[in-house]
Order: sequence, then structure tokens, then C-alpha cells
Amino acid sequence: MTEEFSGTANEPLLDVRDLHVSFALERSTVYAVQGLSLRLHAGERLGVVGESGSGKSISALSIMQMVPSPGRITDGEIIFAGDNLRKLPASRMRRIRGGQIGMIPQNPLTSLNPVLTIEDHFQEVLSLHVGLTGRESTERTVELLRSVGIPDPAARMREYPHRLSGGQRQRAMIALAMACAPRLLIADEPTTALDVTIQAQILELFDDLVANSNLGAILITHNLGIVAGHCDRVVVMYAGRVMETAAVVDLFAQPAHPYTLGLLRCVPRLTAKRSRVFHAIPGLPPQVTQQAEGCPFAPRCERATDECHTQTPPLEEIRIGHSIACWHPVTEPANVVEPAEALR
Amino acid sequence: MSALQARITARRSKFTAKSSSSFWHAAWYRYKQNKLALVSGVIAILILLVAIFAPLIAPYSYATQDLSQSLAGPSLKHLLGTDQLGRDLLSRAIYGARTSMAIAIGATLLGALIGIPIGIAAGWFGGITDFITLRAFEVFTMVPQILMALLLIALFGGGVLKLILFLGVTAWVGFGRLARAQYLALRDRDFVIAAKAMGVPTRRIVTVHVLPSAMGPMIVFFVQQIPATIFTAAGFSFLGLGVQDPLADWGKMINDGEQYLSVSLMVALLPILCIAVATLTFSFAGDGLRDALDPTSR
Repeated sequence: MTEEFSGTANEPLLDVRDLHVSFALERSTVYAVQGLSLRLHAGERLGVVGESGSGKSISALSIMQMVPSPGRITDGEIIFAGDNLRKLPASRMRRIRGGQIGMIPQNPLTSLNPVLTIEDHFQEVLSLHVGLTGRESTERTVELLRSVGIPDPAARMREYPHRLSGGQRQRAMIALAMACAPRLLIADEPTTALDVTIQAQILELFDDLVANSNLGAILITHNLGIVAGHCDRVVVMYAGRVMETAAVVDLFAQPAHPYTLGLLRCVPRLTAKRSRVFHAIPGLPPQVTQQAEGCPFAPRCERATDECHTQTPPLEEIRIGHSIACWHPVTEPANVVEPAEALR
Repeated sequence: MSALQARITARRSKFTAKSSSSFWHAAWYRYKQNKLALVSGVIAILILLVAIFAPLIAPYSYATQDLSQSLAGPSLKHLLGTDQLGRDLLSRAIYGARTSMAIAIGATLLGALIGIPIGIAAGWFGGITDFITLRAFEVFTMVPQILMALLLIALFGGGVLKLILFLGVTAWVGFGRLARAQYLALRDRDFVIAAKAMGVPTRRIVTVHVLPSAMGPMIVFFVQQIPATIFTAAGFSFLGLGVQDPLADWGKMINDGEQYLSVSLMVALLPILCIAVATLTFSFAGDGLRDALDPTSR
């Protein structure tokens, strides 16, 4: 099914096939990612949405080959620019990290080393991946910091991170991720630690970078509003599996998976009547400690039948570029939320 | 009015300069507030200077004998009197500082050089490396340091260099435990993961990214280890197992003087005072450093 929906004939930049990641704990095994497949082309922004613990961040760390122990990629392939990252020797993978794949961390406040200046961070990365040193490195740092909108970059870069505001630190992290002109940018909830006003600025910056550098970008978030405004395609994850994947417009116009529909209903709307109670999906996401049969969402799903509890639905294409894993897809056009409306 | 304004501007610029500085300036500011630590630090540094420049300061050599003047009281010729062989006590105390400091700092440094890399490896890599290191810690903690050093001295003999070596190889456990704990706590910090994601090699992460954050407690431990080692080394010399004649050492001087207590109090009292002052000042300076480098520890 992955063959058809790529849309374009050219090679994808990133092709993840049937990825499985599990954590072997003392008494049980947590199956964090179970059969994730996704494709990303240059110039495309892919949103990965899901609740906490749905395997979004672990998927991103898997692409970087940085799954923390005792986690392990047990199966699947991660093809990036023609290389299977799982089979690359550690030294080549190290050069890809920060060089070919840039990562914007979740928490900019703690992701810069407090004992190094901003310039130290850039100097290190620039000399490691592109061999820039001395004045060249300084000039490039100033240019990068200016490009992400940090005022007076030449002075600011000599400061220690605690002297910068949260938004400025995230801008610096973005500049750092972009320093070596990567082909893939992974942003793991880049705005969760920031104010709403700063969030919008950071996401605008993210859009500009993707548009100007023709790179592929993965934006991990739990905020459907962000997906609506800043992504081209979406992957909806639940309990380590892909529930639905589609173009953003398609997903918001015609969500086919009951889980996606539930998520969309949960988005608070300004146009709604005041008395309206916030919608919520009943229950909690499961602890994935066994590879249970059946759809992981079945216990919380209003459409679930016996079949859902015993047989795992495969990810199947229902329209061009729109796949879901569900036995009872939502067929009636839902139109729960307009993308523009989801944006607040 | 303008004078006041100028003063305010001066104060303000001084204040901004202070706040723009990093961790170490803040630590120095906190250290200065602690007067006991400040005075102790100054005395400790003076003791170190005396030890380094002993030949320039001491009026006599530590070995010069004047048997006609044995056990003499303080005089203009011998400011603090002489010992049983007529050797100048002041000179011996000054040279004694040299030996004691050399042993204390040398042994502690050796312990740090052995213990810190082992502790870093255990804390950083975890797993089997950590398991083996922890078992090694346990084995070495089981045998008391003094007994271990005693055994080594009994087997291979005493002397300054051997004392440094034996006390050093038995002092590594403390540094190892500390370094392990630091790296264990720091290894999953966001900035370490971010550095990994930027493709920084492990060796560089361990040294450039993590070491500065782990350094504070290690410096404090180092300074706090010095008085303990002064004491242990003096103990060995007192037992006649450490520094050998004619070399001066505070512990050995107490041993020498103890037999002549009824004739001259000074012979034993002077080295005791030296040891007391040295251990106290290094301890207070160490405590001050701890409070300055880690204000949350109090």
C-alpha cells in the first residue's frame, strides 16, 4: 500500500518501513512502536500527532538511532537518502546526526549546555560537520542567528544560555539544527515549553526554513491546530501504531478513523456556544506491555465490535493518499473542524 | 547631585558586570561572604606557599645539627628552640609543611586521577562496566584504607614517594563513587541528549559537555580530602612507618618530641599545632567551597 500513496515518482527522502521498537524491562516488555511506516519527500512537512505515550518521540529517536536503553529497534527499516540507518556503522551515523538530520528538541530551556556559550555550541557543530573554524565559523554563526531573528547576534552569541529568553533559546536551537544545512529536520514538540505568542513565531520560522531550504521536516506534536496550520501530511499515532495517515486538508475534511474523529472533536472552538462542555474521549491510552490482538483503540471506541477486540486491523488505503487502520471507518463526511478554525 | 549620579552609574555598571559573569563569579561571591572560609583559605594558601618556598624561608636546613644546643628553648639564634639533636625547630616545621603537603596533595591527586576516570566510565556507560566498578568499590571499601596502606608499607617500605603512592591507590574509591554519581545524574540531561543529536562524539560529550558540570563537587571533595590525608600521613610517620630521618615531617616530629616532653614542651607542641592549623584551615576552606559551589547542599 505504501507504493501508491507517495504521489510523486521520485525517491522519498525518508522511508520508514514497519518499524518496531520495544523496551525490555525486568518483568515485562513495552512495545512502544509497532509497525510504523511513513514516507517523507524533500520540501514536505509531515505532522506526527498522538497522545502522550503513543510512540511519537520514540519514533523520532529511532530515526536518529538514539533510542535510550533498554529500548531497542527490533524490526523494520529506516531508509534515509538511500542508506539504511539501522545498518550504518556508528561513526557514519554520528556524521548524519547534526549534519544531515537536524533535531529541534522539546525543551529549549534545558537543551543548551549551561557552561558553554551560544557560540561554543555553533563552533563545535560547524567544525565537526562542515570543517568551519575561526573567523569563518564566527561569521556563519552570526548569519545563522540573524536568520532566525535573534537581534544583535554578534553580541548575543557570546552569552551563556541563561541570559537568553525561552523563545530566543529555541530560535538558537533551530539555528543550531540548521547550521550544517540538513536535509531532514525533526522537531519534537518544539513549542510545548513556550508561550502561545512565541509558539506562533517559532512555527512561522519553521515554515520559512522548510520553504526556503527544500528540506523534509517532521513535526511531532499533540496539537491538531499546529498540524492544521504547519503540515502538509499527517500521521495519527495511537499506542505505537499508525491509525490514520492523510493529507492535512483531507484529514480535517473527512477523518475516517474513529480515533481521529474523537481527537478533532476534542479541539476547543471559539465559535462554539459558551455552555458547551469540552468533549473528551473516555478512558486512557493503554499500557502497551503485550502485543495484544485486536485494535488498540477498541476499548475506548464507540463503534467497536467483537471483531475489533480480536483482530488487528491492517493499515489500508481508502482513498489516494489516505490510509487508515480500522474495521469500521467513518464514512459520512464529518466536517467537524475546518483546518482554519482549528488554528484558533 | 552629579557626584551621586556618577556613583549610581558606577555601581550599576559594576552590578551588570557581575551578573553577566558566570557560575564561578557567583561562587566566588558566595565564598567571600563566609568569613571563616575566607580566612581559612588565605591561611591554607600561605601554608602551601611556605611549603613551596621552604628553602628560601627556613633559617637552617632541616638536617643541620648543633648538638651543643640540643633541646634548647627559644632564642634569637633558634626562634622556636631546637630538638634533641640540636636541629632548628622552626626550620623543621617549615620543611615539615613541605613533606606533609606533598604527601597530602600528591596522594589525593593520585586518588583523583585513578578514581575519576573509572567513576566516569561506570556512570556513563552503565551496564556491565558499572556492575564491575561497583563490585570493585565494595571490595576496596571492605578493607580499611589505613590497613591497606599499612600492609603496602610493611611489604615495600616507607618514604615520601611510596607514601604518596600507597595512600593514593587506596584513596581512589571516594573519587570514583563521586564521579560515577555525577555522570549517572548528568548523562540523561537534555543538553547531553541534544549534543548527541548534533553528532558530537562521545569522548567530547564526556569531557567538554559534562565534565564542567560535574567538576564542582569533585573540587570540593578534593579539598576536603587533603586534611584527612595530612592526618593519615602524620599518623604513619608518627608510627615510624612513613617519612624517615633526617627528613622533617610533622608526624615524625611529634614522635621525636614525645620522648622529651618532660624536658621541652615545644618539640612536640609545634608539630601538633602545625597539623591542627593545617587540617582545620583546609577543612573550613573545603566546607566554604562546598557551600559556594553548591548553594543547595546546605
